Amino acid sequence: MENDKLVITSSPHIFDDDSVEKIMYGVIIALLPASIMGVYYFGLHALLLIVTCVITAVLTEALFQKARNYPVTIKDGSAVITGLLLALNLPPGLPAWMAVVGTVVAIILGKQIFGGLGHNPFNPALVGRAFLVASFPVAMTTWLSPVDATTTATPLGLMKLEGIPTDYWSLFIGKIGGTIGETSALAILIGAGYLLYKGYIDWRIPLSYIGTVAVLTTVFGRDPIFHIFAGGLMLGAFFMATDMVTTPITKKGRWIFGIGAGILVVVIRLWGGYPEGASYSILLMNGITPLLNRYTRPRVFGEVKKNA
Amino acid sequence: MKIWKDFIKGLWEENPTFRLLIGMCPVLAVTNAAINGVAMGLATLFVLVCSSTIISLIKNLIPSKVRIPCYIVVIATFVTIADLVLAAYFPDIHAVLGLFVPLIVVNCLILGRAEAFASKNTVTRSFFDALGMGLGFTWALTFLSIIREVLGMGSIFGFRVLGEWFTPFLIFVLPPGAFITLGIIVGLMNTFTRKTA
Amino acid sequence: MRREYIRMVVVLMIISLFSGAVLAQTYKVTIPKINENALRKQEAAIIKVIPGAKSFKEVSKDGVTAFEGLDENGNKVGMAFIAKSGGFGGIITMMVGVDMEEKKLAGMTVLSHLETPGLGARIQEDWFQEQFKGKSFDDGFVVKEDVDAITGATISSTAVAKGVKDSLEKFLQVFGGEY
Repeated sequence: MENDKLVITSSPHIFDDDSVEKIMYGVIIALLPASIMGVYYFGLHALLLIVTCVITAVLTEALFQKARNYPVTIKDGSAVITGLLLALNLPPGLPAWMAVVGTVVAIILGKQIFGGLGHNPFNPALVGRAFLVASFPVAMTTWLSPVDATTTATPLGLMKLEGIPTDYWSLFIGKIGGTIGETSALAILIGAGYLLYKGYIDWRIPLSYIGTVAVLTTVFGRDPIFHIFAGGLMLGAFFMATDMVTTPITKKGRWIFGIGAGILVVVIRLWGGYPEGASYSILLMNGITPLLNRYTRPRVFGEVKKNA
Repeated sequence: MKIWKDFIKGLWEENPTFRLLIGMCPVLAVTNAAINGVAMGLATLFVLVCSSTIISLIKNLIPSKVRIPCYIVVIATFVTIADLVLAAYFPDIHAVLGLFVPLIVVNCLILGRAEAFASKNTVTRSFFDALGMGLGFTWALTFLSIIREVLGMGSIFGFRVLGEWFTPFLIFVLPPGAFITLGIIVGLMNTFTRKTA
Repeated sequence: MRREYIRMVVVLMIISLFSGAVLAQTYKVTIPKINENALRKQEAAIIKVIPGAKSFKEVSKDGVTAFEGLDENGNKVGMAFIAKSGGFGGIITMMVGVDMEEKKLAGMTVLSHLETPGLGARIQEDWFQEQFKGKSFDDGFVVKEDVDAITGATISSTAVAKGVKDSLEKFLQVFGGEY
């Protein structure tokens, strides 16, 4: 304080030293194990896709903001995360130009068109992925085997169409077909542990999301361990269903979000047309997040219940 | 010139699709190929011009309490004619447009022009208003469906215009493509006109 | 007040009467053409799936409808039936032709479907439909083994194969004993 004048500010009054940049770079560090595992299993093309997506995301954000005369915010790291998350959600053999298209869509249609970071209703990386799946269904479902780089099916695809299970150890370390970042549960858990330790993500959504999938698959007589480790559930639960912008801010809202997304995943996996539904489950729940925030708003301290 | 103004406003300034955003159901549903967009536009144009003219002609005979049922009967008559004629002479287009031809009857563009314009203005003015609105609707649907067909199939009116190098973006012939394309066009039109105005 | 009610009823009635008259006339003019279109479409499909057929005759037995393909002289050259199956986006309707003497399929064509354009809709492509030609009645119709699937559209391909197989069985139960 320069002098003894009374300083008046609006809430929040409690600050810590976390900032948007700090959290964003924390998330990027947490995504590194999964990225490294992806490159290790799927080779240089996976690395090329990751680099392409990140560079495209940053460039698109900068150009769009320049064109609209907005302040350029590429230094906050959110564009890097969108690019990285999208890359981790792509099949390792995808042509690079398709990755560029997906990233441009993610940044412009997923984020900037709504006014940039903090205003986007849907997770931008998942918007990009959904666009690519609808546009290029064949390329987006051509999976490579980490063993010999031939085309293969994902464990969920094998299970759904041919009833073939995959052993738990391969699922856990990621020696399976899948997107670049989703295959290794181990790498995802290492990153997730770091984020939980730092307090950057809330445990409620991953727990209720994965928990619901485990309970429902057990109820319907499927193998819950298989369904937890297969597909994009892990990656989605820790890195996309915890996105601060597109998920509820209240605790109760987060529980509902996780349970709802879990139900959707199980419904899509067991009875839907697609083998995997993690990305759609999160996008659909993103859509009702404003409602969840509204109806789960905690009562103000001291507020008297109506009709009490 | 009043009549000229009645006619021209539907084409751009009050374009039903891009400006008034009415009659969205066929706009989104059938614009996945250029031929469908043109056919739906022309069918709607036919119904709109005929019903607006007739309604304007008989507007003084209709008691105001039953005006909406009367309008709907007139509109439904022309929709059914359009449906039968398409089925008889253009069976391929009829098969593709399917249910959306009968659904022209609930296109709020048509009832909207009847209620807002034809029931209050002379036959000549109503005719030109309907013609302008109908043509505005037709070009909007054609424009939208050409963009969607080029991006989603690489062709226009079924003729391949982009070479083998082009991988079609299937999303543009699927429903989400309709929303994305329409949203971008409306956004660009607003930006564009705001700057020139 | 009373006068107003009467006026309302009379006006609405007159408009409806006019409408009815106009529609009746339009219907009378167009319906022969519409029926002819439907018939011609069916005929074209049957001629396509039964080699040598020039016209067809509808036959019905035990509630199952089938078509007999006839050549120029009115001789029976094969039979056809309609198969239906639930695809990815809705019901797929197919016309299947059979050669009763050789006990194999003579051809197959998709009549209508609601599959995804550019993906499941490729069941209409010739290479896909042609592969059913010449398949024995005992064939398993298993996708990826007996029938080539369309890349990325396994569900649509399976629906077609399953629809052909199921309808063939039903058809043979009723008409199979004739030869």
